[in-house]
Amino acid sequence: MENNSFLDYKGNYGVNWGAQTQVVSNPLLKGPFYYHYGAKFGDIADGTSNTFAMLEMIQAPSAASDPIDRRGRPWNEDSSCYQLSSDLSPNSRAPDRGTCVNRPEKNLPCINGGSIAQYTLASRSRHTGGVQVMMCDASVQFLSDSIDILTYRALSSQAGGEVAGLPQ
Amino acid sequence: MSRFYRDRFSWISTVALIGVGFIAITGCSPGDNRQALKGTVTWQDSPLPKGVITLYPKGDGSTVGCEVIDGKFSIAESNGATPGKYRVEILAFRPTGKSEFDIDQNKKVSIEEQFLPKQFNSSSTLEAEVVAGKPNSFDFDLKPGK
Repeated sequence: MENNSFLDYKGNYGVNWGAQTQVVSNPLLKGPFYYHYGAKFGDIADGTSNTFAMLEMIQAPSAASDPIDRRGRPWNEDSSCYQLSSDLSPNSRAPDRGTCVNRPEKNLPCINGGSIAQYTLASRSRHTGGVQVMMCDASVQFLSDSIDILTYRALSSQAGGEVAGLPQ
Repeated sequence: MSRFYRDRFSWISTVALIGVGFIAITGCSPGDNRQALKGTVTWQDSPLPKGVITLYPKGDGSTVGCEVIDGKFSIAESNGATPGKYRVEILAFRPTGKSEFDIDQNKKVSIEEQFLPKQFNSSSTLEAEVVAGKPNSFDFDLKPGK
């Protein structure tokens, strides 16, 4: 893989893509910021209080000598930059899939390569036990790493019709 | 240093020393009890060429996973699962024959598709129970309609 040939810029919140690997078979499971898409408030049928807008992410290292790891690029519309999906739980030890470098010791495990069918980035943070998320009503919540995966996915889809609210 | 602070200081030091001693003995942070995992995945009686297996905890714990290559997977203890029950999801990928240019990788990448039925991933009924101190080996024999 090519190295960074430029100064990179990284951010620490990404937008909600929904349950990425399931969107192909069920478009209602997409998130409000899915690929080539932007939701209107009326499209968020599950409710703005029950749908993620943004989730926390970790900035992958991007020194000039590093191989390219796109994770944390808010400026780049290519996949696996800032588009977070609910295929994997928050702070998952299972690897992200995309153009990235495997760094499990930094809470940034990765399977490099693939295409749109594989791409998935988990929400990740540097604090123990969970991640901060912002819902579409602009409220901010803390989610535990061990949130039930089906609840997590229901909160990431905008119109899946699931009966799910934030864990109390 | 007043007497109050001195007493308090020694109390904190004692607790800190016990903590350091505990970490030194267990070699890791308290509660970290990860187990290595391995196993096989077959699809229609053949080893699954290329996929991903993910285990989601049914209680406390973290999600773990890895690639499946030629029907085999293995997760080292350092990235392993803590004992308990897990929901298992398996995705598998195959080329669509199409490709797209990726500017960062500076090459054409094959566009792939996920082809396993949803009863093995989004609506999975697959489970695994991770047990401490035993070989955690899991074999998943996937067949359509099963």
